[in-house]
Amino acid sequence: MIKAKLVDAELIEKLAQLTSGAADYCYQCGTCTGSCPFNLLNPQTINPRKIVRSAQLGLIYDDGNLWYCSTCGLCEAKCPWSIKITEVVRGYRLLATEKRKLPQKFEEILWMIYEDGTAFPGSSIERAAWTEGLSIKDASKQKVEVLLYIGCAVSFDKRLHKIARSLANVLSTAGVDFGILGKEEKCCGDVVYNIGEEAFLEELAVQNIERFNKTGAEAIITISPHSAHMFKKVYPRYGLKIPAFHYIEFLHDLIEKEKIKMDKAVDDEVTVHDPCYLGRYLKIYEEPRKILSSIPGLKIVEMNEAKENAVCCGSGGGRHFLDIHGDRLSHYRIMQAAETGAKTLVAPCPFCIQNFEDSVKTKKLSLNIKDVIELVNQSLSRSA
Amino acid sequence: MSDEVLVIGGGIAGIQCSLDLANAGVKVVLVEKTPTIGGKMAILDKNFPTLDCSICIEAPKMSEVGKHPNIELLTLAEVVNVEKDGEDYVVEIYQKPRYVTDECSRCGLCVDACPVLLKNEFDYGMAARKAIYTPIPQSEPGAYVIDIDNCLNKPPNYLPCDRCIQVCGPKCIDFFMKPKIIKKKVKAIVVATGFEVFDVTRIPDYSYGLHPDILTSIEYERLLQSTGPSGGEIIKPSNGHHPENICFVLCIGSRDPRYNKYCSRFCCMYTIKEAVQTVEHGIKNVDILYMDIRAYGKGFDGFYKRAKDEGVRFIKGRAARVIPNGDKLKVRYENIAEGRMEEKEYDMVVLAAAAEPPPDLAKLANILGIELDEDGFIKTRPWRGKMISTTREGIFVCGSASGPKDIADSVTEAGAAASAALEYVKKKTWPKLEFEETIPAEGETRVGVFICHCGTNIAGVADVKWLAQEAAKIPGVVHSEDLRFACAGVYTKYIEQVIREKNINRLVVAACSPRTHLPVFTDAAIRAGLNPYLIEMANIRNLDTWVHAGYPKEATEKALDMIKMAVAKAKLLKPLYVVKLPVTRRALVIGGGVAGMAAAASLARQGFETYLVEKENQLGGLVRHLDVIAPEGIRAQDLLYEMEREVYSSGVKVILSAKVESVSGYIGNFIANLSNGEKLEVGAIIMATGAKVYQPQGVFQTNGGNIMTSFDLEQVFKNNGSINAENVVFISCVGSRYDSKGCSRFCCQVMIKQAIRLREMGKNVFILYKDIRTYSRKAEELYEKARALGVRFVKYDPEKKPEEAIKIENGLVYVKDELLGEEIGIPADLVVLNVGLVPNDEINPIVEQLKLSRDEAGFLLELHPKLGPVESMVGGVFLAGTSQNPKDVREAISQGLAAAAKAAALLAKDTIDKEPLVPRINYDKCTYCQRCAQVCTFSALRGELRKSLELISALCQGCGNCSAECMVGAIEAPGFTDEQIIAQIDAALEDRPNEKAIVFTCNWCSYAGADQAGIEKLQYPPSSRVIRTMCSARISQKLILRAFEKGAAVVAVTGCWPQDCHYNYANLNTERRVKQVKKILEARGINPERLILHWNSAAESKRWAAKMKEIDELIKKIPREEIIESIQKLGGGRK
Repeated sequence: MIKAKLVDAELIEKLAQLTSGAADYCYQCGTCTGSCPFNLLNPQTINPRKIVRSAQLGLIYDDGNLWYCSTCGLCEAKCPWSIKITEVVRGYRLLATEKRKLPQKFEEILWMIYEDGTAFPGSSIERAAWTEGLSIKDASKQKVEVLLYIGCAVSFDKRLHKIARSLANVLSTAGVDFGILGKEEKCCGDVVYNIGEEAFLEELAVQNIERFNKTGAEAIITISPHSAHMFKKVYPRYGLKIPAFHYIEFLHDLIEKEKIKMDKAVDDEVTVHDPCYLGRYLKIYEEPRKILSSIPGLKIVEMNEAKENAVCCGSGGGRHFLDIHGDRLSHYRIMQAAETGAKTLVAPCPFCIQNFEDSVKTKKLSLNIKDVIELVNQSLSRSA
Repeated sequence: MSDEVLVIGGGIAGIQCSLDLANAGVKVVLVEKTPTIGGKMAILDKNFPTLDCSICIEAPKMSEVGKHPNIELLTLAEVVNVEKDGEDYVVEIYQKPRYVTDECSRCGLCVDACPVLLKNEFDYGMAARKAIYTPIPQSEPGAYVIDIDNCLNKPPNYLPCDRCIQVCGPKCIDFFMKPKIIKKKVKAIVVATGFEVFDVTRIPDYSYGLHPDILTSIEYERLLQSTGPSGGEIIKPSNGHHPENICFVLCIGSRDPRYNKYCSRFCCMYTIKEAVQTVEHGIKNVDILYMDIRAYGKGFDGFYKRAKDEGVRFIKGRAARVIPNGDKLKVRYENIAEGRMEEKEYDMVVLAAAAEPPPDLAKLANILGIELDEDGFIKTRPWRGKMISTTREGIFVCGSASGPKDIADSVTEAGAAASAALEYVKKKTWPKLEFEETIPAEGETRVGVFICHCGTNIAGVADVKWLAQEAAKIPGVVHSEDLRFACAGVYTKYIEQVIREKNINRLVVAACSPRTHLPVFTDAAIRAGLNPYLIEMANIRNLDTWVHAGYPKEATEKALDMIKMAVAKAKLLKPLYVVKLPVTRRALVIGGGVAGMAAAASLARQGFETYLVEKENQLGGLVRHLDVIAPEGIRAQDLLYEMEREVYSSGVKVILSAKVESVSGYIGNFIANLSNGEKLEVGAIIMATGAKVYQPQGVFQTNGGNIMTSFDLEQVFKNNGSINAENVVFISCVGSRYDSKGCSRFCCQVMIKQAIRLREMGKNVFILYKDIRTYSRKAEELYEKARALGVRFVKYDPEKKPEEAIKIENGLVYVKDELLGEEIGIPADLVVLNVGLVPNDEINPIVEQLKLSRDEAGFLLELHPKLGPVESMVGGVFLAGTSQNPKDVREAISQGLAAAAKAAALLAKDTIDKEPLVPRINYDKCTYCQRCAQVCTFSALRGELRKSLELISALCQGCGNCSAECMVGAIEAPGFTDEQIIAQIDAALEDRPNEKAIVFTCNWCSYAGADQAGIEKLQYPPSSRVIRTMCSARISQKLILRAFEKGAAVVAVTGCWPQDCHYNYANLNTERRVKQVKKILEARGINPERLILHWNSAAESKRWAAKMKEIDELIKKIPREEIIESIQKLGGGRK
């Protein structure tokens, strides 16, 4: 008997089904591996090509680096065939999770979400802590037109509360009828989706959809691009009918319709980071720039690697909860931002902001990290 | 009624098509939109895989177009309207004015005077030109041109800038020239508009345009070119320094669905060629990033291996990013063999940009009323259209206009398109080309010497100015001058003028090889009124400056010797007159496969009586056994039905179940004896004798069950048989791509087609491959389709034979997947061995009788791998289809047609000109001993002992063997007389003979091998002095002894390997004579080791260089005293 991995036709079939045949077109050029930002900074490498290759041949892929991938999708953007490589990564994670061969940390995360409705430390009582001093409608009790989904990161990280408060102020100023679920809000399931725990994801999604439906809201808006992606692209599979938007889209629409006026000059020079799940996943690139360019006094400079080329902060795909190997992608990204000479790095994603703020401290840079909504809020002369 | 054909586009395809048509007696209008013909080939430095200097081999064709009486060349011209009028097309051509008349002598004074500095498009903007300029030194037409859009005198704003007019001696600048609309009626149109280079700025990841040291391949090609912007130095455009490391990146905009899905076909090979040249320039760190190496053509795999041997690093992996980093460039990619990302810094990055349709092709297609395909190239009808028919009757396409193609394939298609167009023209035209010989050969001998710079090829090594001065001192020389590009049209015109003005009656050109360039100067002499046989060339490039590049002083001295030798011979040349030989205006096509059928039908439709001899009892050859032809998916039987109908309806005389048993004769007059007793007298022969399917031997053997060849599988499909297997594994390259066996070209696409068929039947299909070589049109798309359907491709080690890399055991196929980097086992109920083609050895007798050569792999050898793909080394014999090399059905048909065009040109006239090399017998001296008759291998001399001797001129091939055999000096070989050769020997040995070797070469193999060593720049010591004759059998005892008598340290007699002898083993006589002379030397006490007999084929350049080194070492070992002593022993010292 020759020692060899045996090609498994059934596994080929199963993976093809899980990934809608994503691996088929691949001609194994290696552009993905060559484009992976993780590989620039880390001695342990991710080889997306070999992950796809394994799927082509129906071979088990349970290398630890399967979990390093932040599903940022840069490889897909660079792939000549636009192969859904992250789908293949998720497919293999699903197979690993089925066999409970997932990192211990992820097992814990799943239990936390199961028990507390969030993977973040803290209890659901504190979910609405950011509203202190504001009067925001409780959508679980009264009907609102727009349901504002805050998400776990903003709810439980005090540093990020200002984002939610800015957004609430802008929405009120524009006269939007909105509310929040408060302590009823639960994890959107982004991390569950990326771990590949499908049964639990379904349960979570179905429960969330039930909560959303009860509010009678006509639209859902999110602060995190990860939640937006879940509600827009994943939840419809489980029956979500209410249209969901990232706040950037909603805000862009408000500005277009002249519902809000940004007339107070903001003296700042900013550079824009495109969060992976907002940019490459939802193809929202121009809107944040248009919003920022309508703020008087604000200057925008671009980084070398912007829009579809933007380098990930390192937190997607569940990686937010894993120990970082090697250098952080967010370090790399803030250096790129600093090179532009901008004073402020703007990132409309809570994960990105957390990472960038940590990196700025570590690298001792004098770079401000802000969400788009903070600058918009700053430029409103009239406030609700 | 028109009798003309319009050819659009003056690149190599358009040039070759025009020449093929014109040589067959058709009037051609060639329209080119730029100021010169030549196209992309003229821009390239060297060609793969032969490393031929591109412009050197193209320039003679360009000037042939310029001079051809049947070709009207319109440059700066575009077709603006086409309408059908009965059987004719009425074409309107808009021609922009040149503003410079044909009187331009290219002195260049206007260029110096012109104040406007612009980017030179021919150097891709890397160098400057003026508003009055010539695109390249070899431009045809040669007159300068004014770029009026950038000229200060742009009408109607006539500014008072007339600096160019002021300095122009011949007063040939005319700003009042007006654009012209030229109307032509033509019978057929050939589109040969070529390709354009992909705009690499469209891929921002490669940062093209952001850093000066990121170049496209064609820009890099200009850097390599000695007449290019850097004078042939590889320098970084950013700072002029030599790079230490270079990365070549393949598939830029090709095989990438975001830009072009198709494969651009030639990038792999030109990149390998550029990499080899880079290494040879002394840059050691050369990397190539690739996906698959598509070395599909004859000799390509060998060249790929050579590149690896020379240290070029091939890294499988597509570049992800090129990032400027200060002086350097960072390249990021996955090194697939290592399975990880690498980021390396380079000094220079060269991007192999895709070939795309020219931007205005759609407009032209619209004017012509023809369709484009989905990629924007001209749509062809692959079936009846044979890849050269467009969607409109009477309009054909060739070269890259219908999709990227290399030079050889473009030239083949050009011939095919010519053949198709020839079927439309009934009237043939032969303008009188007779010039009066006005310059008397007798009386005072007045020699004119012209020394070519060949850019820096010669002038960069030898001191040409000094040579010109020294040559002027040789007695009899009345004119001596150095010229930049002696072969360029304008310079040949200049030579013509000097000959006339100075009454020069012997012409010496010291330049390159007479094998390639003699006709250019012969034509100039004829036009001047000189007999064409009063010319001698000194090959100071291939035999001197190219091979002694490091020794400028020695190379210059050797060049002077060579010029002296040429002058000495020239002075003794006598005017000769061509012999008109009758041509039997019938053609014989041997082999009734698709290539033969296409050739025969086309010739018959052109009105030639054509025989098609097939050994089977039906036509079709290998295709008869196929089911569906990839990549178009045409049913083989439908194609054959159609082609057979064409063959019979065109009036071809088909002879089935018969073999050609023997062939005799020569160009224009062959006699073929068939196995059925028939005897055919024909003027041209097309060898469409096909190839054989490789039968696996050894470890992998078909077993009539679960291991079969791809041809067996094809049979199953053809017979609608069932496949009792769920898991099918294909193994590619069985019997191809190892040792001297190259790629069989067609197999990848056939295998993928079969895989798709099986996949569609629900099978699990795996393909084990070395490189996927779906280079041809629509084949890459087939590869894509197979992947989309779930056919899995597994790469095995390309360095190994499949039977070494792959094990079949217990229903599993084991292989190390190079992509995964691990051993895998694949379930297989059926293993298909994908086999290629091997040479057909059944034709050995006729190959031998016709004196055809075979290449390394045993296929029939073509005249030139780039520019003569369908001609054999033997006049009147042409090659078609797989007899020349494995190829797919489309390519075989194209080659069949191209061979038909060549045959048509030969058969178009009643007579052909025969070189006047037939010996002259001095019956006063002849003793009728019959020794000459005994050695003549063509039975051209016959007689009776002591009574008679007769010469049959038609049979004589002009080898000179008889002359060497004659003991009494009664036979003179014109052009190679004893007197002339002795003059050469004496001139060569005038100075320091003891440091030199006289090397006699034959014209066909050893001289060609020496030429080739030059082309490849193989370096050897400068001690040899070459004297060329037609055959080594011309070299007599007398000539060898003369050289020793004059003090030569060593004498070498070189020739073809006996089996390759172009004169029917005449060179066995050479061997006998050399042995005889050795005995004489020994008897006289002279070391016989100083006489060397050496066989060297045309391809064995390294062997040649090695021999020259060996001879040099031998020379150094012989003491001067020994040479003086031997001179005395031979009586040479007496004088």
